[in-house]
Amino acid sequence: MAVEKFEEKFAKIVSKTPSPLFEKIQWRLDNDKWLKKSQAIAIQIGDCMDTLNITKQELSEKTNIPLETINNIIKGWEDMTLQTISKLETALNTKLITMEYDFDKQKTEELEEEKSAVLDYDNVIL
Amino acid sequence: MKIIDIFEFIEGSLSAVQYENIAIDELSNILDCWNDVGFLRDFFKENISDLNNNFHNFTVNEAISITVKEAKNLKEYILTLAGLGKTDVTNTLQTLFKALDNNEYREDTLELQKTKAVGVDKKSIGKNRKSWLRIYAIRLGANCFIISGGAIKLTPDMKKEHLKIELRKLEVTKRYLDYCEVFDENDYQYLKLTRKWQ
Repeated sequence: MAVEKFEEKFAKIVSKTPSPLFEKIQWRLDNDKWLKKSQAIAIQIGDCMDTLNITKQELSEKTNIPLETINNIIKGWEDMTLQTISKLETALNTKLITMEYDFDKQKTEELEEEKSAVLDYDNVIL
Repeated sequence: MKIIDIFEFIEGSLSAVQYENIAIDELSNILDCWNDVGFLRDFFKENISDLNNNFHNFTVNEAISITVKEAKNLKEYILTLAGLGKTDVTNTLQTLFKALDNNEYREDTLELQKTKAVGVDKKSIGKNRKSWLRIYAIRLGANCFIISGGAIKLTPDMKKEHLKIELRKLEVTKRYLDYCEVFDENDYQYLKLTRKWQ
């Protein structure tokens, strides 16, 4: 009887199902830019949850975001909408993203400008 | 338990174990874990004392960032391997893994390594820091590597529970291969990934 080679014996125990590895790696590399942002937000959320001592379940209830989505957010795997980010910011009492143009700040500055214009007018000696 | 081929184009060169009740193979699974900020946060919080000692001096958030970056490098390296020709992959795999030291394989304390690392400050750790990512595999014959798992190894020995589990996974994989009569008692080697990918 012919002796079965090692390669033949090994081939018999290897599953025909392919590994999802390359698909996963390629997807991660293709989506690297937003995933990095998602991971940075996840780190900040983790810090806030520790400080406030709240669980994922409690955060889900507070924000009305499904627990499954909260799990993905904490993993740093979720492509979040602005609405989701705003809900999380409110629940955690923090800022998760900052923008160069801050609408609230701009409004205040415009008001201050108007106010100082009035003051200038008052100071004009006729 | 199943054995999943990683490089389909070179059958049997690199495979990973898929354990019962886990949906994906071990290599895919550990790379997912090393990309999971929540998992890493829990892990480093649980092992915080090993992040602040003679070997490391990192906060939990620093450790998360380092792991995510290193895991990305490793993934890019795997993609590079996949792009190599058959002979190149075989040669590279042979140098990529190295034998698990006896003292690593045993669960004993490594006093020698401990004393070597005393006095390492945070600055010098950052410069020549050895990766704490580990992938464990069994080598069968000359060119066949089977990944049984992986771990974040913050300590010089294998006493931590999550590392003992990795040793048990190596044993379980060996027993499975034994059961399948794929190799003789002396025809295998326990391996760990070297830092050549960094």
